[in-house]
Amino acid sequence: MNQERETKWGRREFLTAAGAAAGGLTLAGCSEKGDPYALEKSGVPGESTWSRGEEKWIATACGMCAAGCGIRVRVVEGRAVKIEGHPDCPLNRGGVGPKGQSGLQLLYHPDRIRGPLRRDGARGSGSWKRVSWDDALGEIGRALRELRSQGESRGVVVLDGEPRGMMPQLWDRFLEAYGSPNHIDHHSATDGGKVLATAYMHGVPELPAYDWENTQYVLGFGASLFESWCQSIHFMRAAVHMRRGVPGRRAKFVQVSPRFSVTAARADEWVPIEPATYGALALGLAHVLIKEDLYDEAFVRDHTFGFEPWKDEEGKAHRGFRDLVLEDYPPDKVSPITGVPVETIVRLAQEMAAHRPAISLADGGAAAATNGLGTAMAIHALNALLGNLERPGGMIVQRAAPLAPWKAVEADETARKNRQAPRIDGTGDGACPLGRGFIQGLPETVLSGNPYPVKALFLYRSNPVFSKPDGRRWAEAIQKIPLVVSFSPLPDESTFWADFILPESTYFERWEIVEPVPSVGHPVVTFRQPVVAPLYDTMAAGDALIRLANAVGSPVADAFPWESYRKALEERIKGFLGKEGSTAATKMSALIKGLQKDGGWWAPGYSFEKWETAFPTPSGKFEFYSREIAGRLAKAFPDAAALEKHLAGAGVATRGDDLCLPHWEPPRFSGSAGAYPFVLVVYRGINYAEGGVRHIPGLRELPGSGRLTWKERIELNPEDARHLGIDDGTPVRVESPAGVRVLYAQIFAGVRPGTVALPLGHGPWPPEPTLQVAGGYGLLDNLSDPLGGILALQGTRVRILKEEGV
Amino acid sequence: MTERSANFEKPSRRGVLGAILGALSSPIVLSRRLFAAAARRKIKWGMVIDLDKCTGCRGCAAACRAENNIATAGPERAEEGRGIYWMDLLTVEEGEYPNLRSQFIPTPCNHCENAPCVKVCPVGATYINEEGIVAQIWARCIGCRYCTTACPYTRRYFNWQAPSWPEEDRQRLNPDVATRPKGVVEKCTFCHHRIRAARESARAEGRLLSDADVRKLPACAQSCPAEAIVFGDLNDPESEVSRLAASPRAFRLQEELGTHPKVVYLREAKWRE
Repeated sequence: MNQERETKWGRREFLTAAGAAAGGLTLAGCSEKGDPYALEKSGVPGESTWSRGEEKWIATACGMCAAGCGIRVRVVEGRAVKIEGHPDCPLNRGGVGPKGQSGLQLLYHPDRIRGPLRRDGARGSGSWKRVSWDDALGEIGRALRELRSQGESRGVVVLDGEPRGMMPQLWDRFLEAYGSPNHIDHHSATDGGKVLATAYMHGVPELPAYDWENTQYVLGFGASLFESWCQSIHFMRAAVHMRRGVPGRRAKFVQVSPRFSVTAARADEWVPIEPATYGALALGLAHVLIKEDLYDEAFVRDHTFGFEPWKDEEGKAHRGFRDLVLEDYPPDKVSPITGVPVETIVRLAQEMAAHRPAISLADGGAAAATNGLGTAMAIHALNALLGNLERPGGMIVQRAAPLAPWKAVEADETARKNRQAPRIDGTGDGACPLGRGFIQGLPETVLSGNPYPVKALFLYRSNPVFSKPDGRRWAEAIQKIPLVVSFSPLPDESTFWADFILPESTYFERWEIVEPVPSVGHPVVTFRQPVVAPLYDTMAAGDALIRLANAVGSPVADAFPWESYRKALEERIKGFLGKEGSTAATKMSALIKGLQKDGGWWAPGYSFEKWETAFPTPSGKFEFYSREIAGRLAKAFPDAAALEKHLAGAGVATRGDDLCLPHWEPPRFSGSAGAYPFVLVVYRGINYAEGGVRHIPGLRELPGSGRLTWKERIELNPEDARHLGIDDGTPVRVESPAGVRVLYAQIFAGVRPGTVALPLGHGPWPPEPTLQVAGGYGLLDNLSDPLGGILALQGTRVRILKEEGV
Repeated sequence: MTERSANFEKPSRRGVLGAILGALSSPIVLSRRLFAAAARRKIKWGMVIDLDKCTGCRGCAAACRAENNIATAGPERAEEGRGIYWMDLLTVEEGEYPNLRSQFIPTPCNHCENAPCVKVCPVGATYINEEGIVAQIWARCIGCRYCTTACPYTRRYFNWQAPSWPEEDRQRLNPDVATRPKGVVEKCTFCHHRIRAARESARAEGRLLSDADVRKLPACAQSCPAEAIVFGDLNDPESEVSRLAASPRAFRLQEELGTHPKVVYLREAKWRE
């Protein structure tokens, strides 16, 4: 097995195939005369500019997660040796977590792919041939041009793992000019539910920001704020401010979750709960708030829609949110569902009301269940009841930085026509009527060829064979696609099946404007500049894409008039000229100097209570009853019978207006409780970086992780383990309807009895494509919210067997 | 924060010699130097870790490993419990579901004033330097591991193997910190190389090292997103560490052993209505 792996997919293959052509690419223009980007002393190693013992701190943006914290990298004689937080960055103010600190292990990773590779042999043979960038991009460009001329451009699919910022926009631009609707992100498998709730109720399809500084109370529903929250470092700082920042004042942080996580331990109170029942608890809290008249009546009256009963244009009466909550969700009904005592529900609601401004928030994972959309809406609805939206201490909408737009794409007829094709993942149609993406539906549509065959696949920061359930189906689907191109800097299970690998430069080696995950509310971008020249013959994906567009030729090339990605970024930052901000400049040279020094651009200050623009919904108000959901359902299903068929087929219990309101729907699980007695609770630890934990040794080995830290493990409650006769550290056989794996038992008192907990992102390194390790060790089943398309991470049951003789 | 007198400025033994040399050159300088020497307080480096701020993220530990060239142990040695963490995270768990409590305590070397490790070292490889840092001379260590046994805080690590990095990864080694060979004991140094660098920078700017210069000086303190770790001179009554160490929340680990740790913890507080 081991030997086979070595010959098929060892690191050596990549190294030998790649040859030793290091440093082939230099930073175009870096040493040009009068270059506005030229550092006082170039950050590029190997150039004669570095004298002996010389060192320099270079400001840039972290790339270990989507938070985009500002960092400074210490470069000594051209070698990057240390990362520290940038003290000026408003997100992290000098702090960096373990992920950020481990970044250089990515830059200097021994398994990095050394240059563009072309498949040399059968798919999956692991045999690669080193090619030049021109040859690789030329060949891919020709193939794309061919497809386009055949009218098949819609069959090009981009899986884009970058959640926001310039690259997704560049990919979208490419597909708009080329003619494909298939720019598919990973939101439905990560934070999708939460975004859907804000989109439908708030009119803002983006994660919210929060005014932590002024809040008095934070109720987190499974929100791993101190671990894998999308802005954990910022929240850590915020929490300190909430607790110790103002003398005599201490905000309360309550964490609700099945597992006693680090966040739960560091909260002021932990409320244990049954998995996938957050929605019921939120509605129970809403019940108390409304029944005891604790909610913000003025806010609800002035700024919300759907709270009271109402009549539509046709005179049909609709139940309001108030009556739904009062009739259906009294605490004594919610308590048995959630396992939270009635008195706790009542007390939490009273506390929140008494300590305003209070924030209610969810994690992506909290809404990652078959009842995800209703759950996320219920949690979000509490914010409206508490009247905290767009107010100091409440939930706010991230203001965009004034980046100048690129010139609009002039798409030709072919592009426009193909762009109108239905999306290949089923978004918007009956399969996923309320979703904004449905990546997990892709393998089936690719394999079936419906609604049309996929002709080319670009894997950008995406490794679905590993990260999504149904890894085997993903691998089959990828193999069916005639042209597969991966941009991965490291080998992975999806890249394994590719025809071309165009290794992306790491975040230490490229230019980038980073749009961080919403957090502070006021405009912030962080700025990435190379701290070292690319170590190998790699390229920023932005540069590769511009060159690919040129290889495809006009009219796609016309949408990419820039000589480099950096030039494309330069157009965007022109929007900062003349604006108040961290660098208030009127000249590009001064602006660039400021960006390079500060590692970003930001304009503090937030304008609250802009009611006329706060809720861009159909009603212009916060909508308890989402008219957009009603509209989408009406569009996706021609009549009530079609909707009924879909709901009944998917096992949805909710009907009628409740579908458009925050509601509770019993979660469904893959596997029966009889055959699979444990609910699998998956979570991301603080060491979950881009691509997981497994490839960064420092993150696998954080202190306090125990001796099993390198092992693939599953956590069991001590009582359950004793019942099963399982000892700490021993191998156990874990079986789910999706797969069977032998893992190591970690006995942890924080695991809820009747559940087992699994940290995501672990697995073999180097990757073993033949081993089925997808989506939580291959155990997660592919189950989704049947309307919202949210992947049910909390949706699989397992059984645990003692493994003998391993 | 006030800048303090020459005691930050002046490295120990050279003080007397300097004064004598000064005396030879100028009588005015002589008197000034003698005066400064009389006013000199000894520095006592210490650290305060606020457990109410700490979120258990372990950024401090990752920063320490990156700064001090500590190699990852790898699967086998990690399983043997031989991972090296100058800055570790002690996790205390109590109770049964759902009545659980857990605490995270970042634990560097306590740099005890009465250090058990120093007393047992047969070869003088470990000692307390004049600024209070419990230092270790790798080259003098014979690997007897008396100190690792004597330390009540288990903050000393024996190199059972030579540390190793993939060839590519060696690029990121910090040139300011020596890597340790197999067979010696290593430990937290309070990032004394960073103290030295900061002192030299201050001197180059023609000023004295101030409390603000050192508060976040060690790699762990610099990285801490919660700013839970503060560093400074415990002998300076004006310093941030002195102020924090006087907090009613302050305590030290296993104080009853009489080790007099120079790492002070601040207890967690709880929300009250």
